[in-house]
Amino acid sequence: MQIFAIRQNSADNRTMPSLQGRLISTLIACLLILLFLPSGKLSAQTVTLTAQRISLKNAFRQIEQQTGYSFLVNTDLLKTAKKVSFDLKEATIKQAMDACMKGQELTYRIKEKIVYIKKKEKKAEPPVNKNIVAYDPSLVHGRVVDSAGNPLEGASIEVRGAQRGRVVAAADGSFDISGLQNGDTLLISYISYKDYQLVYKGPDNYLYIRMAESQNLLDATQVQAYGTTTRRFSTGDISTVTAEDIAKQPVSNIALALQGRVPGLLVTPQGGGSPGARVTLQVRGQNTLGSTASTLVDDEPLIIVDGIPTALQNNNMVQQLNSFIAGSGLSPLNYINPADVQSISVLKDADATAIYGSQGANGVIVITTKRGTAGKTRMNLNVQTGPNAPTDNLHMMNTGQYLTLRKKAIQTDGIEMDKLLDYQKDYFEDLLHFDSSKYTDWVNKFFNNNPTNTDLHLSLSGGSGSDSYILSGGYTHSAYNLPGDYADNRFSLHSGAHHSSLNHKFSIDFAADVSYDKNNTSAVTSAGQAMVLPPNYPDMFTPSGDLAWDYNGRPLTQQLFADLKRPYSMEAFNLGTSLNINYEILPGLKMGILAGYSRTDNKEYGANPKAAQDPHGTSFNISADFANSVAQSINIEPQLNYRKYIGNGILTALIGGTYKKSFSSQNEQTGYNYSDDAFIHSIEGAQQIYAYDDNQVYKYVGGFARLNYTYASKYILNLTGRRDGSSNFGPNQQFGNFGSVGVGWIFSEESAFKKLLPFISFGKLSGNYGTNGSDGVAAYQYQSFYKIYANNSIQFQGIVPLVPNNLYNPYYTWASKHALNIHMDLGFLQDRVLLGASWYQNRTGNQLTSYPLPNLTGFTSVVENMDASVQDRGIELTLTTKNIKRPHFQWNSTFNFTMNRSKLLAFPNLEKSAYYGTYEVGKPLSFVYGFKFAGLNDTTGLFQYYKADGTITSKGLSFTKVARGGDFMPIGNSEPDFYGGFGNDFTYKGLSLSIFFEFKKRFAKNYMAALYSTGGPGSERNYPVSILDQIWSGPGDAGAVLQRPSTYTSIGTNGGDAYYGGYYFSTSSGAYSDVFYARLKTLALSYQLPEKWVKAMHMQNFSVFVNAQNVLTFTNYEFGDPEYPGQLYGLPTQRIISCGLNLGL
Amino acid sequence: MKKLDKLINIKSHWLSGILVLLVAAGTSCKKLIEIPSSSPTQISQDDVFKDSADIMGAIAGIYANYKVAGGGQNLFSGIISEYIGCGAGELTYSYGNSFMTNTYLATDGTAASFWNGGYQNIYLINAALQGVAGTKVISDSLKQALLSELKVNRAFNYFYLVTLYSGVPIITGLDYKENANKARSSEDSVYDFIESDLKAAVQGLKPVYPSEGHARPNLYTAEALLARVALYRKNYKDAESMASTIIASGMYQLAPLGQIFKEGSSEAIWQLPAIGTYSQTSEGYSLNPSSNYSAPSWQVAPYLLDSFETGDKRLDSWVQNFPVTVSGTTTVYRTPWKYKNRNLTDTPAEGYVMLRLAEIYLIRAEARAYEGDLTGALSDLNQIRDRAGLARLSGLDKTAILKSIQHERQIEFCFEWGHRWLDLKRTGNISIVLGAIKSSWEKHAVLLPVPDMEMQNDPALTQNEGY
Repeated sequence: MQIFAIRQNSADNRTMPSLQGRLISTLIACLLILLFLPSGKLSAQTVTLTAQRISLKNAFRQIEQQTGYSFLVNTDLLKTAKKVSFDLKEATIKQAMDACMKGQELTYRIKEKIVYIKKKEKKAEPPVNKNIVAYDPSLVHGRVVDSAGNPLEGASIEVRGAQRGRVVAAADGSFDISGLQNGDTLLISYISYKDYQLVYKGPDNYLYIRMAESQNLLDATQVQAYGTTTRRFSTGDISTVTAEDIAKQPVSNIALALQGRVPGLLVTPQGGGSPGARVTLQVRGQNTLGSTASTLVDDEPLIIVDGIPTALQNNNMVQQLNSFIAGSGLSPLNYINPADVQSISVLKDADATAIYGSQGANGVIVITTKRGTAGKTRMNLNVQTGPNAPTDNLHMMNTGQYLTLRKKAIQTDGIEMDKLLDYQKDYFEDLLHFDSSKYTDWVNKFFNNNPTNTDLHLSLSGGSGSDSYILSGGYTHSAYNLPGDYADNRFSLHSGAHHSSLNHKFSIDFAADVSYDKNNTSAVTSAGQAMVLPPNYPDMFTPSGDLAWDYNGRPLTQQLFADLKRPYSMEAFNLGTSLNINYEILPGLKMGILAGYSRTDNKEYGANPKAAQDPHGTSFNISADFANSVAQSINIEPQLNYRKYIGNGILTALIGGTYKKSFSSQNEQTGYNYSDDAFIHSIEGAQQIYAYDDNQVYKYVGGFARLNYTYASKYILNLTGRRDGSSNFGPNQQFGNFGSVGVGWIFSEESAFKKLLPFISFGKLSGNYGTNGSDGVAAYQYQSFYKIYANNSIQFQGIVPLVPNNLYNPYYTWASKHALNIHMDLGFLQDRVLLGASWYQNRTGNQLTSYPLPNLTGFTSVVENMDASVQDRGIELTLTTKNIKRPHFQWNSTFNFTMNRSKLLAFPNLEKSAYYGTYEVGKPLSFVYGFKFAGLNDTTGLFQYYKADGTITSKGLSFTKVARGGDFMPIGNSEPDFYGGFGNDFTYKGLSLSIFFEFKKRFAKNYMAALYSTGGPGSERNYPVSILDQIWSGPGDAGAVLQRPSTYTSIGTNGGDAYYGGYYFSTSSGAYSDVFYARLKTLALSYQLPEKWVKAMHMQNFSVFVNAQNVLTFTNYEFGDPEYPGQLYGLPTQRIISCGLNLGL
Repeated sequence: MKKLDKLINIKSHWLSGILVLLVAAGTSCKKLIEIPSSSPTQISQDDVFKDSADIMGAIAGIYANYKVAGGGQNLFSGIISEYIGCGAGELTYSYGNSFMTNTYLATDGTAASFWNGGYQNIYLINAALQGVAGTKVISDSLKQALLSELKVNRAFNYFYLVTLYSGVPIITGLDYKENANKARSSEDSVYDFIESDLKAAVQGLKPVYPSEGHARPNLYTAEALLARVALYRKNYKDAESMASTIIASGMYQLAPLGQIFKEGSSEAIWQLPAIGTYSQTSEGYSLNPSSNYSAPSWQVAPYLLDSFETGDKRLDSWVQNFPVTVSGTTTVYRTPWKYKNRNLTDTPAEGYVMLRLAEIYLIRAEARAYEGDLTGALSDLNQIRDRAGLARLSGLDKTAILKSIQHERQIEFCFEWGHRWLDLKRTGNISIVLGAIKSSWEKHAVLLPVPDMEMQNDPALTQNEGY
């Protein structure tokens, strides 16, 4: 028999059954026996005991007293043991002990009236290596496991000092090490775990090593391309957002949860962040030239979910139909329930992305879903609900203010109302026909409907031994803040399973995400028009509740509620699967395959029913639009991983291949001339049907390799290489080679440095350089094609017409990106303060783009490589601090900051190209050209501009660059000056508070641009009340900011002058300002009930919380939303407040 | 040692296996990224001209792309009649537009659509010309006929480009690299180019139309256009002889006023069929009122109404009296009514008349007047007046006859293909006439601005004066 007494170690729970250990154990055991020694009185052999939740120690004492058995146990073990309850009547000692041990991590053995208690061993005794024939006394076997007893494959066991070598733990955590001598120091290390040092006290032939996870952020796992790393050893630039950060934000789209949290990632919600709307992403600036500077090009990063690129990536899901959010699109990322995401890693530089080759040129976003952990079955329920409302309501003029301004405008334009021509009277409906005493706050009516958002999420996880699973279901209801029942509803089911064989050589991981999303909005394209409706505009409903089409016998030209009656819905069914199988062929050598399939089925419907059409029209056309699309992607990646300690370092190598096929198809049928609204849900009732279909196919292959060598935990070398082929290119242009070199130096490990600057606990300098490509064009563009004209709708004399589809250019190929990244990580005060700083420079040459062409060529663009080079250069800073770290109170802060500067580096013959009007060599890509604003003429009250010759005028300007004879001059750079986030987390006992700000500064369109985008103050549109005192009031009004009131109709003796003054304004420097905002993006307060109470309720967790998004905004922006500068008429950004509770069972 | 051997063996076994796999992968990579040669909705340009049915599809594509029945803006989708008509003071648009005041800017989308539509048509024509010239699947005679037909189409497009913008780039090839940097040619060379196309077409065309109706140009279509160009270039002799050939052919007769724009019109030299998605002709769809409840968008300008002579039957036939009752008061609006069908279901069907015999008579009248044949001129002019129910003119001198012809053209071609605008331009009267009725008239408005985007995308282009 062998008695294991467990030696305590404050750092971990490691058993060390050496001989010496055994001696000590025996000693302690004796002490313990003494402790529990029966006091000599006679005892019965049975136990009768009824108790509720008593400590194990107490239980043992009682059993001891009743039976006379002694207990041999480490008192430390009893501290962590669970309380026990009994209802025993004359039970045997065995029954009593079984009752005690129920649910405990302990086991017992009875021998000679002594009960030995020890910790449960997860695994059987050390496996016998069949290869070992003879007993070798110097050979030591061992096992490295984590706190849950799972093997830590690849952990390093190093004999220190004499450099005698190092071994790596196999898939089941076991290792053999020979030649150990008494007193040797072993260093056991594993990624994301605390290093452990152990002095070998031999002879002993079995070491069981249990490692504790590191709490240091430097050691947190970061998902990289085809594997994981840590901030400590990575040579690439990776930022990670964790499930905890996501959980605090009541957002339905994971992309929104990234806003402000990742340096170098610009997250732009479209459509005011309305439910389901697309969120565009851009990593480290613009890589591609676009035809206009003011709108950002979609340099969308590659999106990977559980290793598999998603079928739709971040493209617009809406294929055919139009609604007010469809302009920017619905988000394909909406299918992932944020509650199912474990982490999101953003890979930014060549080292991190080159392994994805061409696909990773714009950065990579790696989403990892939650996995189960083996152990007790856990159930978690999260319920939250709450209202949303616009962050900032515009206060528009009331009828009195509005009409006064209108009358002033008529007067200054010199319009004589009694001399108006018939058609001109239509411009003055508000004055001539509408009720001047009526007042409606249209903004309130349209955008203040306080809908409710609800989110339910239930997950179940657990498993035993080397198997684990997770299953979770979610329902999310996000409503539009419009009058009517419009919402985005999502049902999601996430599942994941893991299995590994008993010897851990074979493992299989499978994850599947299924979701159904239904977004029903309306086909409104003009919701924003509601804001500018005259406040005395007639009611849009008749007293009986029908749509009003006329007022006092005159037709209503703006029936905005009719737009809301045009239904639009989109149903998306998503499937994402990922399978990862690995087999360890030899120690350190693993063969695996990563395969997945992703699919989105999309069904769209929209209609224009008779009910939404003006009954006074001479012809109705009841129509309905039915569209279906399917996007699929298959991805297969065989891989071979090798890991070996060589010398004083570790070598990891990866060889793999990629096969990817994406294919999608769309079809759409539009039916016209329905006889009745009743039939518009079917195509059969249409008298005419027009069909349209299309499909795309894309194939991609690649071979890749990565070689990493980390020497002495100090010097890191990382090499990657890849050869890719893409079906998007013409013959002989299909293949490209990419690669990167990365180096890292953990200088804080140098002893000289440690002596010199002891307060720096960690210091790493890393850098990498590499090339990436891009094949971001559609298939077939290199050949010239004819297509069927329009669809089946048009025939010419019985012949189906064919028209050219594109121009001929077989020569385009991969764009090439060269990226350089230098990164420094510093840790102070035992890594309580961590500072990360990056400097990067990306140069994208051989620009592959849709090159704008004059109509002279028959087309407006062609796919072409341009001999132009674009540079993005920037810095990124992150700071994380643990400000206060007390047992009951913690305060942590994070801060990140990004500054990117783009520049057109070279563009031979720019002046002869279509980009001449947009770009200039040496200038930023987002440099804006326009009229130079010369201020307000305080005599005429008109805006003035500089002409090319320096004269100042309000009229007669030309919209071309000065160099080409026009009046367009450089105005400024509209890319963000900087952006970032700042967060503080406070925890006091069960209470935690999280405050996160997002901030951004950019030179962008200001509120005035929005005022003059159509007409201007005085026209038949309403304006915010705050502009009233900014309008020019008369000659000499030098303080005025806005033009004199005008009707902007060019009617009247001088109406045309103001018309031009306003017309030029939104493309002038006067329409731009520095816009800064800091938005309290997330405010999360949660309270976790004390453990005692939770236990009493037989739960694992019980917390209540309030999460709020877009709470407050600090800005220099006058009015409107600074996140959408220059736009006044979009759907306003919503403030979401959500209360809920989280139960763990 | 044995163990090690085994290890090595296994390793080399695996390594060689991997090597084989990699090599195999390398060689079959190209195969792995093979995709079908085209998507199901398209066909390669080369293949189009290897099949005679597809060739006819490509020809049909040109006419379909004219968008005669709506579905987008093109030179042929009515915008010339509508907007240039506004520009010439013939029509008003109730919401106003830059053509009513002749204040179009280079950024104006409508002003740009004449240019853009024209050049897009020309690409389709050039692509077909190149394909047909190179094909081996059709007979030489058909090839000649098709090439000639295409050239008539190209000439027609260039005619409107040169008259609206003055000298424009002459595009004949498909190479975008060359075309994207084309500079403007002089007005004369564009006219020369148009004439050379038409003269070549005359060689290859026959009097008989190549398909049903008068939809695709025949010999007389080419000659009618030649006659018009000759008149514009003041080449009266050619104008007269071309016009005479057409009239003498006897293929066309002046139709009763109500029949001119109907399908199968006896007067139409070129008439495109116009059954489309929503409407018959675009002009019929957009110029006719959409509601009897509000003021019609397009109305006939008072200036034009005043120009009709008393008793002119064309006033009742081509200008609709459209009553609208608002707040109990009924107002009668005068709306353009040459094309009367707004909806697809209206009968009988109308076709879009591009060239018609009345113009040939008036071309000959003008040419004869300039050449001194006053009797002949009056006789042609009176053909038109007869149909309009107006008294025959006689005994006028040359100046009076020319003035009468211009007046007759103004009424006969009112809001039709921008005739009035082009006539005012070519006779040099535009600033006098339009300056008198529009306070905002400025001389430079006689030419449209080259679209701003076009200027940006082709740096070799120059802008018309005043923009």
